[in-house]
Amino acid sequence: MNLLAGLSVTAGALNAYDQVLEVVQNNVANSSTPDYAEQTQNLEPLPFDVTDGAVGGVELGEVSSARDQYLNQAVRSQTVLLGQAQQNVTSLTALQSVFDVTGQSGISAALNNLYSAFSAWAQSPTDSTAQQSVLTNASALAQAFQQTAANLQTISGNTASQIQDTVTDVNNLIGQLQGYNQQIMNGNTHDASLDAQVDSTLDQLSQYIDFSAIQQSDGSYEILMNGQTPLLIEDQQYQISYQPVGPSATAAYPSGPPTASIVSSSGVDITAGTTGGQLGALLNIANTVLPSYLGDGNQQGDLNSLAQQFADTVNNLLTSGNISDGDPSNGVPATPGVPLFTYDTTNGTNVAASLAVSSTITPDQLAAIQPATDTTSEVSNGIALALSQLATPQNSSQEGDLDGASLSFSSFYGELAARVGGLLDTANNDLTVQQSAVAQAQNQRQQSEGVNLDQQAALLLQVQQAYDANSKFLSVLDEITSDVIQMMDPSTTT
Amino acid sequence: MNGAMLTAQLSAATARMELVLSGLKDASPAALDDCANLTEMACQELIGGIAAARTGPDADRDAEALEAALELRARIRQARRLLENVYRFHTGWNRLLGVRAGGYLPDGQAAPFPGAGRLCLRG
Repeated sequence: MNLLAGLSVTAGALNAYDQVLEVVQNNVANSSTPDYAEQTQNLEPLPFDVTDGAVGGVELGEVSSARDQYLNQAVRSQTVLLGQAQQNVTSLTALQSVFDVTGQSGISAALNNLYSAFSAWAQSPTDSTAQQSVLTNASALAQAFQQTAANLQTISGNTASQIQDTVTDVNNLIGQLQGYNQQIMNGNTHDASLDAQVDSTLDQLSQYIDFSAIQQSDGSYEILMNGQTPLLIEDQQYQISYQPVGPSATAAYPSGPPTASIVSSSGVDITAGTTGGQLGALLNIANTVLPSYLGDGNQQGDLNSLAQQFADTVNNLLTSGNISDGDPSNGVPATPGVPLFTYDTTNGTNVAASLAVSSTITPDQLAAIQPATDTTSEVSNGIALALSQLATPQNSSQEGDLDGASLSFSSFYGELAARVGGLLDTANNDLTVQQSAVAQAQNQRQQSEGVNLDQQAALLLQVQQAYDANSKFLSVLDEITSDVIQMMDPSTTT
Repeated sequence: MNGAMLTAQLSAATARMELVLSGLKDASPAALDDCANLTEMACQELIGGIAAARTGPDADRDAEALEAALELRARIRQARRLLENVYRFHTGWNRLLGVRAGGYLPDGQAAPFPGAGRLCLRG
């Protein structure tokens, strides 16, 4: 090697190492940047062959990011589930507050107070104070139903607003990614801070929706929502939109509340596939949970069903009774009872919101007398007694029907409250698990960066063995614990 | 069965499961090994605890013991979810590496990743 060639090699190597140093400095400078991936500089050997003048040494290879798309996707997959769990907890906590199960307020308390008023009236069927108490407490119950329906409608409205806001956030984040794609497509492919910005934006997006981000050969990202709906391809953004959709004219409840729909830029309804992230959770609340109480085009909603069944049961009893006996010997007929409750009979999904005490009924129009039949004689307080027995039903005619199961009206309401309580319990458990799962995925990402394939192979083997052992012991422990639970409370589900 | 004794055993097992959860979050092979040991110890202690508790007063329907058992089960199921995540993560990556190294098999599955005895050629 001659002197000049030697100097040339040295200069090239110094230049290469200088750039390595820059990369290291860049790593240090960006160490506090969120989602910054450590950059490594590959040094590639140059051929060394004195016969044809190749002088050896090193030159710069392509700057490669240590971040693996797989690692990022693993973190984002867990973040999608975390966003979903967080939103479920937030929405269901608000929903649970509508249902007071302590019996101190709301429908539960109003129902108990009305039962007490029926009972007192049955003791003194002609006492005007007892009669007035029935009307007062019936009115309070109707207001409790109205208030509960109004609170649920408020939550429904808030949920719709949150869906709109989330869709806007998603479109804005995709818009940012569109800008990054433009920079990448303009040749800015080795910018570590741009890389970090892309990753940070993708991480934010994963809280809202389930998506796949596929890096193309030119470095740009293709974003597909739910794995199939394009949101971003090269520098073209495809916006999604939110649309409330009312029931069709031929639906079972054509005046029912609308459901939420997410539509792709090409007009395709992608609601059914949107189950993950914050948006998925909000859609589930809007299209499944709330309609189970308030109804939609296909169902009345259990709150409306409870209100209607209770009102019908009370009205049927009162109208089967008599207010006064009349005077048959003088041709004066008995005065039949009148309904106590009214509600919107044109819209089954509006019963709870419209339930009221009849504006025309007066205390002395409450029919306490159970008329004589072919087999029974008249009972002066028979109707009032039957109404008081609604608290502890004697037969199925005094009960409500919830999905085919006969329940007292108090239990019916208890089931509605328990349903949201159960969903919230599940959501809280999911949230705890997902917080751990995201931390776990982040740890895995951190541990796996910079691991070469041979190390990876050894790691896989170790993990496989540890997985088998852990899995076996966890199964045994779960079985023992479930046995203990079953032993102490056989009603607990496994 | 002694309710207080059973509650104490269940709580001790739950404390061990908290350590397991912490290890699973770390997800390193060494942490996973520790998790297996901790879970095995929790099993043995709980089995012994139940046997000992049977000699005491009746604990059936003991509310505190039931709550402790439900708490333990929640931690176990949380651990199972995290363990499945670790497994899914590594098998997914293994499949990815298999595809990159050997492509796909005739049935569409990823080719197995040659984890040992690899020969690296540079040219």
